[in-house]
Amino acid sequence: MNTELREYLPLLIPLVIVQFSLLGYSLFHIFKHKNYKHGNRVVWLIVVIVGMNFIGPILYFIFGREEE
Amino acid sequence: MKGFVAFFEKEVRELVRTKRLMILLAVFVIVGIMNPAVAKLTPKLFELMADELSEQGIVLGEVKVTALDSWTQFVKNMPMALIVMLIMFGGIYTSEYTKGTLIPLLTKGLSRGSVVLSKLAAMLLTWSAGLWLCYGITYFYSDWYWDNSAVNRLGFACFCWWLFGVLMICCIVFFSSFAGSGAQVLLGCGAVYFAMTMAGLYSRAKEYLPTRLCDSAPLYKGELVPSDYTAAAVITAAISAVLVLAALPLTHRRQV
Repeated sequence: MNTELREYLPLLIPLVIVQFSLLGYSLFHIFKHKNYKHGNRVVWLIVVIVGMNFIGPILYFIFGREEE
Repeated sequence: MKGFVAFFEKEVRELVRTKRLMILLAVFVIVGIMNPAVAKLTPKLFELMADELSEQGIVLGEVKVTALDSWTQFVKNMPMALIVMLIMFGGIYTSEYTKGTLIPLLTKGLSRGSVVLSKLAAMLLTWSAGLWLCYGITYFYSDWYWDNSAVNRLGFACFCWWLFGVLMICCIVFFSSFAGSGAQVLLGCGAVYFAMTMAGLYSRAKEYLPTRLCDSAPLYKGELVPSDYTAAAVITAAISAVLVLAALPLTHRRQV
């Protein structure tokens, strides 16, 4: 199992880094802003955390992000 | 020309500051990694499902994964990345028209042509960078795990995708010249794609339709050669040019 897992690591590590940085950034953005284009903070937190594999953050940045 | 450069810089800066560029590139990177990852995991998934399948009477032999599977995933996933990009860029013109942010610039003498073209240039830049980034990542992993030499014409197939993306971007430019909102623009783009798919049902027209460019699988397998795609590529480029040229006078007459 260990060698098998090692075979997947070159794929998994960058994927995890990109996805978590996207997640982290969107959480940071949600907490920094009070008003959103649609919905409210709770809705966007749920969407971003549930749709963690990049779909949630993208939805937030398209439909939730407030234009300054 | 001066106006074009200045507005183009403003566009790029906007893409960076609104984090759109970052998000889009992240999407392309994720798709680029997912392609080989899904291909790599396929035999594992079959193994996990083997018990269930054998209950139903389906017996699976050994599943052999090659670079071709990774590139098939590339073809399957690229529409998703393209759609995300189109949604992000859908309102790039109309939001400026409706908010009136262009009025101060236009009254100071910025030509409408520069506005249209510089936004187009910014979109093309993003699409090119994203697509080739995705291509590069998939190429690297496919070569790492398997062997890319088993797959033919990778660069040309990716170029076809690029051309198709350019067409969709030009659709945004065209529909933005008269549509009222980003949603209407996207609806227009969807209608164009739907019309092309419908026309594709007629088998003789298939060879000449832009949707043909998305069909890279026969190219990978060596069933078709690049010259089979020439007609579709020329037509796609021509339609893109016509859409942009038509958008210029239409935008000129538009009330901002």
